[in-house]
Amino acid sequence: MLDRPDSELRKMMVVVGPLMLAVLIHSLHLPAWVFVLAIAMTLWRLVAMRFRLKLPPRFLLGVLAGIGFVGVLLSFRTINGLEAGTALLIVMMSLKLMETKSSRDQHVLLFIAYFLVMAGFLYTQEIWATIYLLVTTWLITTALLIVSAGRFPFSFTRAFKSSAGLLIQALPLMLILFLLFPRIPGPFWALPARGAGVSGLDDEMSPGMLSSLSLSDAVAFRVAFNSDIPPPEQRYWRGPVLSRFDGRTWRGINTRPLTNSDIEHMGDAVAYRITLQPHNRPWLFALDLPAQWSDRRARMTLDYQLVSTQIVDQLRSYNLQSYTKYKAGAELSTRMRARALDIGPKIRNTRSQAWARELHAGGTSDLEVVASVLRLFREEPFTYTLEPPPLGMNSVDEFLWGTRQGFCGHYASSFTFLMRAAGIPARVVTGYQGGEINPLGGHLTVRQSDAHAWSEIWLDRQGWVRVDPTAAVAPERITQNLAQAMRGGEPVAGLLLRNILFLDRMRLTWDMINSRWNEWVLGYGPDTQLSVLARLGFDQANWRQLILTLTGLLVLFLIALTAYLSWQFQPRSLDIAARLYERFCNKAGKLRITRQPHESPAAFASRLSGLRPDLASAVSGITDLYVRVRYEPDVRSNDLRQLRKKVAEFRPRS
Amino acid sequence: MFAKLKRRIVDRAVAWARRRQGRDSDPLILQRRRVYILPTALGIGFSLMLVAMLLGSMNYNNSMGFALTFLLASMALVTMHHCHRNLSGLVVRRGAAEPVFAGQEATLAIIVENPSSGSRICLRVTYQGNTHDVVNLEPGERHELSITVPTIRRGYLTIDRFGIETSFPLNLFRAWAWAHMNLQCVVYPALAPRGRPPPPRHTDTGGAQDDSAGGDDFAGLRTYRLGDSPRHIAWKAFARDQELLVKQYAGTDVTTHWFEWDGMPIPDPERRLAQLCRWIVDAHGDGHAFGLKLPAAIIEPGLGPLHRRRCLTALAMFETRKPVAGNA
Repeated sequence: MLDRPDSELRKMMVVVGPLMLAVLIHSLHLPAWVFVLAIAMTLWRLVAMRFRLKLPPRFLLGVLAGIGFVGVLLSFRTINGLEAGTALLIVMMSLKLMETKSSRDQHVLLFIAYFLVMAGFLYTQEIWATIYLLVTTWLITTALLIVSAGRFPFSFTRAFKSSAGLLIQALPLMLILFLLFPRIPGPFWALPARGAGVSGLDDEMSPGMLSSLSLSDAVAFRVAFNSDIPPPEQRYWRGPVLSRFDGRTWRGINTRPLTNSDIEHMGDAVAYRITLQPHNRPWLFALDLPAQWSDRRARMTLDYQLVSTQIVDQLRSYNLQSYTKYKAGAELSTRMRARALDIGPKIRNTRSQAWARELHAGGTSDLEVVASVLRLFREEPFTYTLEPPPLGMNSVDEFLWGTRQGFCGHYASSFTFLMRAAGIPARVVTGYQGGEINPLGGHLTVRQSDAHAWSEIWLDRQGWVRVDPTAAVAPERITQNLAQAMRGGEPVAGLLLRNILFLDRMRLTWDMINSRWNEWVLGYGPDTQLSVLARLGFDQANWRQLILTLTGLLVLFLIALTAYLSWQFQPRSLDIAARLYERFCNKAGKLRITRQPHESPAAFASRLSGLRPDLASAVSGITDLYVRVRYEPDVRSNDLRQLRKKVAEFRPRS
Repeated sequence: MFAKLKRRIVDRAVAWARRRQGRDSDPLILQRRRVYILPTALGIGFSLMLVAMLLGSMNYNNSMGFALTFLLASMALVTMHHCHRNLSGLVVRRGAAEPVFAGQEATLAIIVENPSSGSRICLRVTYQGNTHDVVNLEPGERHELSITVPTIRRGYLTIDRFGIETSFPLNLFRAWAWAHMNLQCVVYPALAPRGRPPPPRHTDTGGAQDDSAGGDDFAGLRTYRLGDSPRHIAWKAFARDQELLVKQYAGTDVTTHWFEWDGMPIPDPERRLAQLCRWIVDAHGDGHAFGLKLPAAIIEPGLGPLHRRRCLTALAMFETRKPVAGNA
């Protein structure tokens, strides 16, 4: 009973298939050579098996492992972290493939495949990727089943069914664990920052950066409101606040926490929940200005920006309360004032400096200065465009007195600079503005194309006040959206889709599905768990109760499973063969030839054949099979099938 | 040291199971409470991987990571039940075993039957920690499995315990049951090498006919006796009269060998038995009739496989009081 080589090859292909599917998802973000190595090794292994070639000796594999290790080190400058770790795992897996012989090795390979699926989820949890990875999980399980069945041929259909059965039976317990398993927040070890490749706002802003971001239709975050959705002109989503300027680029996030809140909230609170897409930066976005937030890792900086202790490299959900009317920062410390008045190198943007000084010279009030600058934007031929001409080191001068074509960043940057030069403390705030309401899901979707920059100036007795110079040039940008503001027919991301009604509806439906998915599945973290459990009637502080419930449900699940399997495996009430033979005897009984209690099957058959020679062959066929099934040590289901068929075909006519 | 510890634990467990279960009936139905289950080394590796996956999910607070970890953990738990179910309810019976000569491998058969409506995959029969045979049983199927054991001494070879185990579906768990039923096999004495000529034939006109010495001259018919060669049966007479008659030939004597314990020039009793064995096997192979004289028993001359078996069994049991406990 030796394994045939072709069945071994088939088994190896069964193992390698799902393994490659698990590797494939990582080809999206890993260097190509890792992927090429994995494929090359796989092909080598299969070819070697097919043509009975020798496998490479151990020392060669050792050398290759060393080269792979160095390769990973050179590609990533580290072996720590998700990307380098995954690459290393794939490299080592490829080499492991070369020495895989036993079924145990194949098991280990398939375990690695599970692990690669897991790593895949750390990169992307979008719906299509989730479906792909779950199907891969099913295929891995199927392969595991086939490998476990040893040398028995296990048909694919049957293996697929069995593994699907296992996974479906595991589903209830998975749901219980997913809902109730205590989620402990926070990272346990420091994570090296993941590489770039995710679009989003940066911690600096130079001319042209926002306009390139605006070309992306990618979702930044989604908002579900518990109260009324504020009107578009109030939907300023606060992000990085920038205070340092070098004549061209704004930088310098103030990360110091706000210890004594100097914010006075007014009006009605807006309660909402943000599901933030990973953007590999530590800050969170909030409606200007947040008062409360549920994410315990986040705190507010001196500039009223929410910053988390952990980089947002996974989807994150948090509840917030904001007030769109507020009075913030009535007192300005000398240090903050100096920071908010710094115009950077004095030799740059000199013309603008002089112009601003002149504005403030004649004893005009701060508000009059603001009005004059906005009047400049409105009355001079300034245009709002997605494709502004590039600017040099004196960006403000070049923009204000030269090109006069700019995106929101240009206006915010110039305005803030002019304010500072005029002696009014000011800073640049970046974030998003507006967002699209999805009428199907009732939520608001904020995309990268909604990226925006505005200004905040500090006024005596009023504190920090938001001024959006873009509104002076293109008011539609604020009250409606980017597409409306681009009257010049410039291409705006996703615009074409929006103009076809049917496609637009599909787009909105997909957005809604994604929103629900993000909020309820991916965003299910420590915070959501507590609120869901509270709704289910759990005392928030009482983890003991939770664990007791978890145990109880686990026991219930196991009892149900045992009952199901017992039902599936219940013994038959009567021997199948005996039942089939009885049916045969009953049929013979219709001929008034009944089997006597003392008659053995053989004796009955010979009597029956003697009386009805026309039935002899059918009778002997049935009797021989019956005797075989009853008395031979080996009975295969084929024999039983045969017997059933013959008894069914036995139709004597008197 | 680890292996020794494991061995001791296994021995204790086996002894405990033996006390708990007692001797098993034939057929034996593997009840749920006598099917034991533990994770395999792979299962332990799998659980370590799950722990790593759980930590990773927690660290990255990754929902689908949690979902996958919980799915795989639940699946492992489900396979544990499937594994147990794969075995419990199985019917085990004793099978037959062909006698062998000492030094050869004995094959002991057991018959397993699946009376349930679910399939049982990859059932293994084990003896002393080694897998001897594997089978798949669809609903209603029955199959013979064999345990192959090397033999050393003559007598009865008895296995009083064997295992039936499975680690299907995913090899994460191993379920097993110990069956305490005596599987027996007769072990003939080892065959002596050829060389020593058999004792001369005795003429015995009343004995069974010798095949090879049959001459050409037909002398008459006599009634059939057990052990007569089928080649000498008068088939035509049988067809006519429905009576078994044997043809006798003139010119040759009906001869038989007598193999006797006494008077053999070999002092060692085992070697003496081995020599007797050799003569019996050769005589049977050549179609000669033979009888056996042992101190305690005399087997009249005869022919045929049954006669051969009777004589060899007598040699196997020579001066043994009770069946020899399982050797190998």
